[in-house]
Amino acid sequence: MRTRDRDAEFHDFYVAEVPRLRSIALMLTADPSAADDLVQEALLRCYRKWHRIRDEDPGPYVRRTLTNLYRNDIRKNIVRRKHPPDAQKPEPSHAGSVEDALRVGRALQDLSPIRRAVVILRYYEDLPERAIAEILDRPLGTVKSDLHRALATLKPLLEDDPVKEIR
Amino acid sequence: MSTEDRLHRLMSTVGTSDVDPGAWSQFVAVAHRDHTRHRILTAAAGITAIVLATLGTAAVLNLDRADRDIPPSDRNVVPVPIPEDVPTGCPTAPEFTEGPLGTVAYLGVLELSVVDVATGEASVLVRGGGGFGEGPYSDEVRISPDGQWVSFGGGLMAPTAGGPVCAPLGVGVQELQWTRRGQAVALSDGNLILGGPGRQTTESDFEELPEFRSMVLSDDGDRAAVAAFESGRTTIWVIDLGSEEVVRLTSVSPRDVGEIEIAGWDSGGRWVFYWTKFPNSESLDADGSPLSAVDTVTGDIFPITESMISERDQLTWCGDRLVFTDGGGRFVTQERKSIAEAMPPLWTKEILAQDGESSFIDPTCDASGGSVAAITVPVDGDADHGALVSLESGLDVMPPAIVHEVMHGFRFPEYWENGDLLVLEYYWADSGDPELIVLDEDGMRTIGDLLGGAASPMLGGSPRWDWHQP
Repeated sequence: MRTRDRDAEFHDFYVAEVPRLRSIALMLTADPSAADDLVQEALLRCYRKWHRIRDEDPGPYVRRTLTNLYRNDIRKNIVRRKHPPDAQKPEPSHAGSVEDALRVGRALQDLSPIRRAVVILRYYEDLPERAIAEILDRPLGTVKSDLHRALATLKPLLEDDPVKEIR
Repeated sequence: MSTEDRLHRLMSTVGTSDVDPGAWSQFVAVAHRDHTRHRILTAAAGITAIVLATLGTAAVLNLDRADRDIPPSDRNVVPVPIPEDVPTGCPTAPEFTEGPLGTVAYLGVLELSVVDVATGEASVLVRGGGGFGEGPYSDEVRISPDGQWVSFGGGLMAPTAGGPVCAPLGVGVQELQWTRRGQAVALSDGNLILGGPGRQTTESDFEELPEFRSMVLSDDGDRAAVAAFESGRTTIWVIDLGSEEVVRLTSVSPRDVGEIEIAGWDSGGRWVFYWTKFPNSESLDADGSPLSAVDTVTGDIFPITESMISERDQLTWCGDRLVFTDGGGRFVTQERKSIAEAMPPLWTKEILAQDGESSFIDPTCDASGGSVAAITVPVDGDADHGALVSLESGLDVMPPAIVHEVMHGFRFPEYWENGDLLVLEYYWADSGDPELIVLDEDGMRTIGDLLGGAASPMLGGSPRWDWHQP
């Protein structure tokens, strides 16, 4: 596949997916710099494998890659090494959306990384449990258990008006 | 309002961000650089070490072989198929003038590959079913002591430099192992067969002896411990491969003792370890069997533990002691396994690592035998928090020191020559293929994917990978 053709195809995918991917990453990490890195790395991996995934639905693939990268990052601290705290980053241009996502991300910090991902895919992406299980390569029963435990953890936090409470 | 409804409502406050018009062009620039960098890493094997030293991050090393544009060169091996009639004659020099393509060998489904640990480069050596049809290759994968050959599939051998498959001992042999001098030894129709590439093949003629079913070579490769099976009873024998002297170590087992499998030797060659299988059992080897030691000098037998997974990669000889995974169960967390050790002459079991919340598996020792590492996994079902632990040497029970927090799915740590640990990640690899990972002082580095490698979180079955260092 020629580079020019790949770029043209990938552009449409990029434009369609980046907005939601960025929100997902912000909620996962609660850190704009780390979120940007995650999204870029996930898309780079999709770009490299585009010839293999283009004929299937690449949406689940990029979500799986994003969540795996996030969990690997928790483990390996790659993003923090790449971007020390004093790194100069431009301010996000859509502060409102970013702040909303960060606020939710902070609310989810009590959850383990995998449960955070499960909750986001279920309640932000509105994906059914079976699709989440496939994206995360996790047994369906475990995903159900993850959701159950995550809701139990979040319940005290959400008992009042969630928006007001967390704001 | 339910918690779910509240969560939906909370999430609905999160919108999406528009794409910055400049972001796409920036991404394309990075993607093109990234693509070029991968090609450089792939093609310029000679300078890769320098590149890695400069760039060395897991992201850089996580190569995507499927998307590389590798220029043709002598080093690009075209995977060979397995012919229907595998020749007994093996290729010889000058095929090996360029050396092995890798030092870690592994089996995928109908593929045998090697990975160069320095570069992360994977080369498929063999692809195709041949006499295997569509089924996976069987038996263990083992690299010869000189690193030149990989044995797999019950007697098949492939050069690690790439080349035709041969079967110098014939096909369908069992328990193929290499002596330190590079001779291959296996069981064939209940007999011992010796040979290898460029060597004469000889089959021992022990007509008066029962059928051999299980075999492990001593560390020096001079002797073989075998379990002999006849009329439902099993005995253990030691065969000197040089003189062909045969010594029976154990008397005929009673009928309520099932088949015996040889587990290994101590490094000094005095003790043979074996598992006693339960008779008429339909359980897997991994469900647990008693482990014992027999003295090759006196024939005395010492029980070591009542139940362990009868898999040879779950025990290891560490300097002056045997270290093993204690407890049965085919699942990693089943029976809350511990790491135990035992020393001659009494072989009293001592627990090295055990706690109420975790299971410990996959012990491994460094070359000195002073350091033991193992994988620990919580048994509560939250698979996120496994760890690689180091265990204190000696018989003092010490809390394991966590070396690396890892996720469930890390398996089979092995010490590399410089003290680093190689480990396989099965579950959460980005690509779905197991990843080969190095753990060193700086943390974790992904070396590469084991493309097509079978992902199996369960214990049991033949090892599907092996590694070699001079």
